[in-house]
Amino acid sequence: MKEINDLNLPEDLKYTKDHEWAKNSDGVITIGINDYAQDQLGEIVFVELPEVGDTFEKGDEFGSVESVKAVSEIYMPVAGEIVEINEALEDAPELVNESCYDNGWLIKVKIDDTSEFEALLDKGAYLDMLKG
Amino acid sequence: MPVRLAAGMLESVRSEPEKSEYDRLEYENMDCQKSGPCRDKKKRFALFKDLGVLEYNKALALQIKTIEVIQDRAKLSPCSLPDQKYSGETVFFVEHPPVFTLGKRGGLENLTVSNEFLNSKNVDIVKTDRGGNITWHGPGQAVLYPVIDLEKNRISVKDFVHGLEEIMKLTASDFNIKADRDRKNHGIWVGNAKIGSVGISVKRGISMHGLALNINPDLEAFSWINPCGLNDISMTSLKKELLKNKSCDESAFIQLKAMQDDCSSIQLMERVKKSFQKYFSLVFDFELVVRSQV
Repeated sequence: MKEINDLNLPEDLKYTKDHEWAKNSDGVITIGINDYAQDQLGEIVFVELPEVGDTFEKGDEFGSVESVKAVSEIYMPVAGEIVEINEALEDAPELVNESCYDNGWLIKVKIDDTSEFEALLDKGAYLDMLKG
Repeated sequence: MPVRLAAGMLESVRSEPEKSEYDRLEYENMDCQKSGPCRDKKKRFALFKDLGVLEYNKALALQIKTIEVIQDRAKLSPCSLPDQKYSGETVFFVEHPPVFTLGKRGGLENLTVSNEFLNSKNVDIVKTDRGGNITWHGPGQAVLYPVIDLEKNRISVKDFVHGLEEIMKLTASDFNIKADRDRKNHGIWVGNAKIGSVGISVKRGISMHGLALNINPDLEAFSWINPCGLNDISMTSLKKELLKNKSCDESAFIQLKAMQDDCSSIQLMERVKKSFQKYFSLVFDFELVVRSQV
């Protein structure tokens, strides 16, 4: 496992206590799992994602990530409607390990209200939580 | 069929605990300091419960209920809990009546016999949300389900799976059987034969499902599937390996010689249970509080 100081946590993203990241582009939130999560899960062999058009509340399980012999649920950091999923992960789930903030994104969500997004952790607060 | 006989006898002795035991999930009667200092966050504590022989679905429901207990207790201040040390985390030791289970992504394609055939053998198939592919559970197989807050204890999923394999490897070593990981495939192997399997799921940072080690099961059921989705592999058990090399662990071999005597079978399972307890504590740095069977 990486040391906390070795984690790649871009400054311009928001984070969750479930080790996801989120980025707002004009009311569409891109969501993925962060460097801590991909590192502690190990080699990811399958990603289960929702359908475009599905709607979720904040905290709902929206899919799962299977690393070798382990299935981990993933949760919505904000409420909204799924407008796009990363279809490349179907054939190349390893992208989540190789490029968790870029080619390994999971879903894009349309939100009505940005307050849930704004309430997510910034890098400093997330690091504080990790250091516990 | 001596194994069947042993398994049947086993069932009568390692019987299912009363329903109230696992419905209530009592922690309040634990012997702990009611007015002592708050829970030491650095210490890891879990209950260890032997469920005896229990149907797969009941053990599954019990794990889900335990996750809810852990989540509820995590919301409380440690100081407000009457039994401050216990988070609800529990390690279940169990044997199942015969059942095939599928992983999250299925595995039915690796069943090599018909449903009618399974019906005739009275074996159910249960779909689960764990990692991995199809496997079999049944009498003579020691199963461990650690429902542990990995997030709170800062145990990575990767390390947890590795640790579960380590527990099986070390347990086999207690019987002087050299078992190890395979470079390509997970689980624990003796030579080219698989002796133990692992598969977990993680919900809100809490683990469920776990490991299964073949002690003295009837291995025939594994021939009805491609275990874990792998073709052309053979399965083995502690019994089979001990019989191959009877000098490796004399006391276990003597137990096996008397396998028709169901007490020997129970002693073997008890030895495995003790090894699981010892190595779970060692590998994950947990203090296990053993609840005696009802």
